[in-house]
Amino acid sequence: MLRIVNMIPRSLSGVTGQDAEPNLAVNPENPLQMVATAFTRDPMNGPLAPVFVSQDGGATWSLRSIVPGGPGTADISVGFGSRGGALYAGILNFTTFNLNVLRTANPFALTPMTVLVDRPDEDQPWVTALTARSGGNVDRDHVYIGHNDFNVTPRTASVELSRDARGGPAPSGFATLGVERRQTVGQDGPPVRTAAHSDGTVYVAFQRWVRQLPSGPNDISMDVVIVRDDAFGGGTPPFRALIDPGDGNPGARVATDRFIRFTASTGPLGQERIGADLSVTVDPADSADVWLAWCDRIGGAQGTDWTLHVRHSTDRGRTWSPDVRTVTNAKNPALAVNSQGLVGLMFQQLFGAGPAARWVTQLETTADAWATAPANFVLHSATASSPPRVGLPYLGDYIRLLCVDADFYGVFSGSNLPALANFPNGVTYLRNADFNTQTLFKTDNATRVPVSIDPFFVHHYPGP
Amino acid sequence: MPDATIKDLLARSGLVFTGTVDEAGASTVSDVPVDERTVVVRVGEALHAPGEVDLPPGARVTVQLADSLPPLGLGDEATFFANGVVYGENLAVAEVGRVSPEEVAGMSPGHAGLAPAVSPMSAVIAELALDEVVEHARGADAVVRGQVTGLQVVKRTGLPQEHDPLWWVATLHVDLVARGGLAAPSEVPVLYANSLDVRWRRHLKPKAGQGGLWLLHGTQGEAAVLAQFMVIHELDLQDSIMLDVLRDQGM
Repeated sequence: MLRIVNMIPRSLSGVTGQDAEPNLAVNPENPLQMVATAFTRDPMNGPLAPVFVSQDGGATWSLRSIVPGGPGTADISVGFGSRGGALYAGILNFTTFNLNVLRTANPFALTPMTVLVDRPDEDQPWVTALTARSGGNVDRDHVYIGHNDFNVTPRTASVELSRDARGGPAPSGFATLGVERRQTVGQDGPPVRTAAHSDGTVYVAFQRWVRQLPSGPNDISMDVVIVRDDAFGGGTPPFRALIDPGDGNPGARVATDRFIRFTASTGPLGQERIGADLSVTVDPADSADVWLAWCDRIGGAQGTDWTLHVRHSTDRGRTWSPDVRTVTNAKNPALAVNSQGLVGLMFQQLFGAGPAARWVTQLETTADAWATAPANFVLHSATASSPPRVGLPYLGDYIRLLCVDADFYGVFSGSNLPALANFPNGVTYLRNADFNTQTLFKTDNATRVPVSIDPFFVHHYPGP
Repeated sequence: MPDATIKDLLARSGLVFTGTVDEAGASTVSDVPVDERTVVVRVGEALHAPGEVDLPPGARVTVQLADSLPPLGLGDEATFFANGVVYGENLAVAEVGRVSPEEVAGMSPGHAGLAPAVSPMSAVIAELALDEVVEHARGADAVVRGQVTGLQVVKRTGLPQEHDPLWWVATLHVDLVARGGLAAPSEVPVLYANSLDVRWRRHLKPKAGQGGLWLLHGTQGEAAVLAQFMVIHELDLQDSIMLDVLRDQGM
């Protein structure tokens, strides 16, 4: 079963924003309940930013504004605790640009989220949450927020962590921990990704910027590093359970000396910027089984590629496979493993060049680490030059895939042109659209609306 | 009701529409809890709405009536001032205020024998927009009339960052100074963020030859070494004629 839904609700059929960089949380206690985010602005430019919510498993979505800081966000990701229904968000505040950690006991109510942390000079918070079922913290929400903390340069890769986040006043146990132990060129890369297992194993992956290259001011050599904690982030010391045999430092270097060209305000890949793609996930049935994906430029300074790599460890991150999957000219890897050990990889790939270039969003699943051909589903395919970019990121610096039991749930952003050929596995639009004339309409179903970037929801159940 | 009250209500509302109560104690949006102050209103006319939220005549909108106002029953008509609450298959709004349809229709009548140049609601909206510019100008450190004569990138010295402002400096040829200790004529360097990143894309980005009334802000932080003034907001460039308005406001 594969369901794809354009998430813009019918009452907002007139929206034309660049609703990029989506994120998703699914309530593990009740997977019919979901919260999603994107660079979607409050339709009335009010003081709170919106989230998308669904209470029917993603079939329908509505928007309500509960995120403090202004009518939008400058980064946002979300996560549910595995019990209790609390939702956590990490944002860059639209007004102050500070990192805010937010919480609500009930995201389906209409009350604003509570600010638990407020700190400047931060980037790209990435939320993972779980509720402990063992150890000394039973029934407490553990929240791990990867973030790039410029208050602690040059070792900026960090985790904002609380092991009892569900109750209590701000900061509700949150404190930041640096996870970079090596020297850097001055900072780490923006993405710091977290993956937590119910047995207390927590992985954090990041991109260590090693040196600036002579080929250009935006050319960086990086290592892809993963650290681990075996006690819900409470190890002594925390996140130092993995030692790299090569240099004896905490954190296994999964890949070293990888070339990236970091483009903050230009879009060399189908109008999109490149330079910071990373994903990590852990098998819910086996915390030793961990997967990592990132992007770099194989061709180096003279190259034009942007290549996605996937690697795999079966021994808690100590040793790593070579690439088990590579995809040329792709970004936004999003990994997840379901309860049956099936690995999912969602990504966005640019096919072709010039006016013929297309962004193709795909979901692959494999039970044998790509030893045989994976199941591949094209979720969306659309001309890369339309709509024209109004800012960056164009599609987003990340998308998200996650699992609850056997089900895969994901979100991505892309052109909302209502063309059946763009959705070979079908799609449902909530907003007004005519697929025969490939036209969007306002709520009056008469006034035409130009094509823009919308968030799309994906639900895949890999059974009959 | 005096126009001042209409203006106050409009300043606090994203939506204004006339309508008739179609159902009481009911909702068209499943996420909205229903109580005795929840009504479904059939829209007569949308008088003010953001571009992306259209309310065609006949649309049914769920309205959570304000606690401070009398309840409404089936068939009651009003002009509703409201803000969006839930955007789903249908729209749910929270009422900010309410007037009778006649009160809005009666505002700002045209001159005898002539239709008003703009709708009464548009006149109030324009007044609010003007207020916003005046308020913004009051916060400016310098207000000058000038034209862009040069644009130059500031060479970045550090590492690339996702939310890098990508500073540029625009040179303004200033021929009039309304506020701020600047000389006229003079060449004034003005810093701006040229980045298209989500953090900076809304910031004003001067273009070659562009002219008008510039609302300049003192540059803060490390960037102050690059230029004394910067532009940061879409409102920081106004038509030159706005100078008269600002002077009328005592600036």
